[in-house]
Amino acid sequence: MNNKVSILISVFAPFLAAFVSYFAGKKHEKFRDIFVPAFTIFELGFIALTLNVALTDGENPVIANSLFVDVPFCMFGIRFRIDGFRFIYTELAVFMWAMCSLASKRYFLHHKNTNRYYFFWLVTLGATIGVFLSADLVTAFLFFEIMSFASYVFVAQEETKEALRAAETYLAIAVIGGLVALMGIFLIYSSLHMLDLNMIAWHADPVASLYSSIRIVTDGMRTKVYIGGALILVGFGAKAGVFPLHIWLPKAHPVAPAPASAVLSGMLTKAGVYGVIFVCCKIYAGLVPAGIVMMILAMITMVVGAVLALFSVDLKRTLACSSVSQIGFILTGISMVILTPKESLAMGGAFLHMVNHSLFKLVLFLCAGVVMQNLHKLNLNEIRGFGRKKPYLMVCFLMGAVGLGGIPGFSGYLSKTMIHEAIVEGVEHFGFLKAVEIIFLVSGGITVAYMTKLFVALFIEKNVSNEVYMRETDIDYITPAGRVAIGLPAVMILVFGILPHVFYDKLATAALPFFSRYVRELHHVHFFNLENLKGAGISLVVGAALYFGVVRTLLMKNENGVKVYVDRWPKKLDLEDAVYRPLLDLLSKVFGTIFMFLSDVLPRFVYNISNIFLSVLARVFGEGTDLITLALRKTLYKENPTEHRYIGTVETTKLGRAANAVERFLNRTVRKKHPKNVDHVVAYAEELELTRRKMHMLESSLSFGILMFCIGFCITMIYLLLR
Amino acid sequence: MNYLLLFPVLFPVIYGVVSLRFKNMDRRKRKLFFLPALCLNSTVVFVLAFLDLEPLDLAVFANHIRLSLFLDGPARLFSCMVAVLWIPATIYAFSYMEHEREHLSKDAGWVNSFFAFYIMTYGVTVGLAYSANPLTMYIFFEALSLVTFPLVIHIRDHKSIKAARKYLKYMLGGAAFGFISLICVLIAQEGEYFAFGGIIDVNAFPRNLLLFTFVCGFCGFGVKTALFPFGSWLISASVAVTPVTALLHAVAVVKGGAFVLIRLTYYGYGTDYLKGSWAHYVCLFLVCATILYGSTMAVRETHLKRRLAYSTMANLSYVLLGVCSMSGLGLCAALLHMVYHAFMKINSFFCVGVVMQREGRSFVDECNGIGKRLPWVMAFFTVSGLALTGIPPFIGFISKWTIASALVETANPAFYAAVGVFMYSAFCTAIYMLSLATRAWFPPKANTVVYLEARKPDFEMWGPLAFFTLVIIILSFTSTPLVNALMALAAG
Repeated sequence: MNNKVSILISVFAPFLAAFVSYFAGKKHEKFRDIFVPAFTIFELGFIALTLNVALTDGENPVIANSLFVDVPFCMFGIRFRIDGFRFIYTELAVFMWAMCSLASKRYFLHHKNTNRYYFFWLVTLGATIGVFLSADLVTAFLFFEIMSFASYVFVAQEETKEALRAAETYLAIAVIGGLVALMGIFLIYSSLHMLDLNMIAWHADPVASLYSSIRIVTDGMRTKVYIGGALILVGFGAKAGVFPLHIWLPKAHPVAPAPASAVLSGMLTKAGVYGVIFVCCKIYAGLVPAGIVMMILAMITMVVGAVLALFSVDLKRTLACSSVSQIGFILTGISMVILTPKESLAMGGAFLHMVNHSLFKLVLFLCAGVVMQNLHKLNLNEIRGFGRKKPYLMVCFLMGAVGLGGIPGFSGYLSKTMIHEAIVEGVEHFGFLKAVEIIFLVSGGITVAYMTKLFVALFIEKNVSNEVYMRETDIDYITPAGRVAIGLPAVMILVFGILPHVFYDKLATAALPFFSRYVRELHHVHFFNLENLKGAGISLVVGAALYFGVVRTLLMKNENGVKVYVDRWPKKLDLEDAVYRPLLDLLSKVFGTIFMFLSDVLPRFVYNISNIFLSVLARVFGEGTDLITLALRKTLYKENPTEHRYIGTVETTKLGRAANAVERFLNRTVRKKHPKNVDHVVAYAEELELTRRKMHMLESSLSFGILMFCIGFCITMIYLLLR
Repeated sequence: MNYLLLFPVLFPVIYGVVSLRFKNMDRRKRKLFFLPALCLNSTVVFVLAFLDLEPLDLAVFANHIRLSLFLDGPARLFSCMVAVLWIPATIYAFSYMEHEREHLSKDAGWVNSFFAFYIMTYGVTVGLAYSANPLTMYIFFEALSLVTFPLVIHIRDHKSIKAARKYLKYMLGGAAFGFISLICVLIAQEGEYFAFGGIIDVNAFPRNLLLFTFVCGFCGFGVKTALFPFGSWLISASVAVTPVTALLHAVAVVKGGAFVLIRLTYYGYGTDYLKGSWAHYVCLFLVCATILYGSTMAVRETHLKRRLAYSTMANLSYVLLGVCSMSGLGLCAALLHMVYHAFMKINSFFCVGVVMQREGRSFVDECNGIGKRLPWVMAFFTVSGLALTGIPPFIGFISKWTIASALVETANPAFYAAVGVFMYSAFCTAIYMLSLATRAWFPPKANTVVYLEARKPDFEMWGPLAFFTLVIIILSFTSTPLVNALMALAAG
């Protein structure tokens, strides 16, 4: 089978399987419970058999185009590539899924909504494979988003209040991170007009880009690429759990089902790290300021995670915080790659620590799952002593714990040593790395302390109540499949740790091309010489001191004669509750108020003001006209009554004189006592004048016209009718 | 032959007027009466889209002043979009309105008159798409406002009367401003029909006067796309029945406004003339303000339909953001988002319509656990919510990416700020769409309150939803042909 097809199958088969499992699981739960682990194991074998060419042929990566070779999918098409790093990580991802699937059946025995869970379980698997195999930014982003949204369901799966709150945080971080990353991708695309990871790396490199025949990269473009890289870093870093966006991890892991926590912590964070490696090692390589910033972030992440883990009294929360801390270790390695881009040690160390951390968290979270499925509790005080007389569980947990603690002989020691070595070698170029070394070793010490705390609590101390030791009669505390799921990675930790040059050297060498185009050979490390053992020794001593000095004294108290673990971490010291949520509330309130003001209050105000203004204006104009008329009447057009004389006609004069004569006669005879003295000549003249005026007004009015028209009309009608 | 252009414009209008006479059709007869006519009309629109027809002059008043219809790229796209959407929307409305009638205890005539105006709006919208010059466009623009008025007021209770009055005031007021711009274009017009790159003689008026009229036109016609200070009619109008808010106030009417602005900018004034002028920045500012306003208010709003209405407001301004970039890519982006948003938003509205009508829940916090009662409907809603947010590979991602590309292509700091606004809005979209989806699937606490004696949505209701979702998914996977066609269109 050709490689293109097998890449496509390995990415898309899980999506298909998700639907199969969902619809089959609706009716046949038993079938589904077998199908899911079987499928993941098949996928594991399939990838190992068909794509192992990547390990031997790291120089010539096989490029597979999307399923729709000629019809680009979603605008840009999707492109995959396989090389050593991608192959190993894909395999590891599928391995984790397979192991967790084996353990899932027992875990979900009495759970609801398992069908939904399995659907998103497989979708997330496909998306994670897609992220690790992606060859360009948009493909990576596409699968990254699918992964984020599908894994939301894991966090919300239990649908309790805490779970939903954690899921809300998770989704918010995922959405914000996704958008910021998208912005970065967009910026890089708009400046370079390319999406392929290797091409971008090539053009971002100030030296290599001089030989580019595709595009001349100016300083402005490179600045844009750097800014874009920073944005991608925020997006993927949020998923990886880099401070200050780590807040979702300690919330989400304890509430998710244990198998899901294992992949959330072991794999999804690594998908974030994948993006971080791309930006740091391919875009920022050799950029010292970026290296220093990353190193500071790495230190904070490492210490904050470790301290939180030390204070935590919840099994899974401790493990989650420990994940944050371990991501800090990985980031330290990556920062060293930025600072010293041609040294293979930091690359190998960072990569191996990724692999190690995945394995440790697989073992530890599945152990936590065993606790959870039997006791349904996670508080250390309630579960203490659960592991007594369970040697299998104890050995496995111990493997994970000592691996994480970096004890020589286990695989964690190897990767930590490589990063440590890289730091030590970098000290001659950068003096501040001396401080980094100290913080690194102390954080290793804290790791030892909190793992000891967990181990002691689970397997050594006795519990007051006997409930913990009781077993459900019909079911063993762990199924055979569960034993395999926990045992296999535990054995791997031991074997890899004992035989570093057999496995890890080869894995790291195969992964190197992903980190840098210049480095092909892994720097040989003497893991078991005194110098390197000393580093582990310091961590162990610090760890022991912390355990006995802090954990057993400050973090425990006597209660009724029994020492119990107490959570001394101040409740108020929570980044999410103290900063992010109030900030979001504030933003929403501020924006809301501004917009309410702009859209509601302001228009109403403007409307009212303009209303008042206009009405005053109208009043002024309306009344003003009257006032002006009045004023004019009183002044310019003032009528002068004295000058007015009515001039009658001859008839009125004669009539008036006659009337005067009549009046005089009457005055003398009838009205002797009350004589009337009116000049009828003037009175008739006035009467005539007024009548004339009235007639004139009447004749010139519309009504008169209409009246006349009507009369004429009527006459015409009547004439017509009568004719 | 080109008289065929008249058919899809006049036929629905006449059909609608005639159907007003039949008051007593029952549900089955109504279906038989309206569906064939709709299918016929849509078929004609599709067929016309593939023909190459001469422009049709209906009347010539003076040299430039004529009524004419024609078919070019945007006209084909807009008319086909409308033709695709109208049939499923009407099918949905058959079920919805029947239920609404029982609920409000109205008579059959009430429902029939609704469909009569609904189909009339179809014709007017197609007319707007086919308009070949500013005058024709203006007439159809006004007609669109008037013909949808009866639909807004259709419930005839106090709230809807108030909303309808507001609607009319805003529409007519806006058209008055648009008229200023229309007159200016009519006088300065050089060609007879719209042409890519502008048709006005730039020396006919002083530059600032022309730009001023452009801003008047942008704001005036922008009232229909709910541009920031003039957008509150859209929120009030969400009291109308769901088929109206979904098809008209998320697609036909408001997109008609956006379409007019595309015509005005790219085919009227011409982008070469406008680019970089003060008018350009004024428009950009208004558009960005609308996006900020719409997105923020959508997050704060808890009423389902009003929330989507605010979202529509923001998304329409995405289209205008594409217009504002004033480049070929910008035109492509604007048209692309116009089409894609249509599908996403109509689907969301219809889903919400089912939730509101069949379950009687109208506020976000009442929707806890609704996913278990209406699994398919909420699945469709989730898909359109993800698409609207711009999660790849869904279509929202494609159109948003194109818009952002068009903005960045201008290499102008103001437009980088616009990209920032864009990102803020995308984040808000995620909150207001996904918070509902997560509530539906993962209820914070078990919601045992049964709001209504719930009736499961019948085929007529979920069929269109399934159709829209299918289109969204298909377009998500194979949108390259459409993008390429639009690119070719935008190249001239």
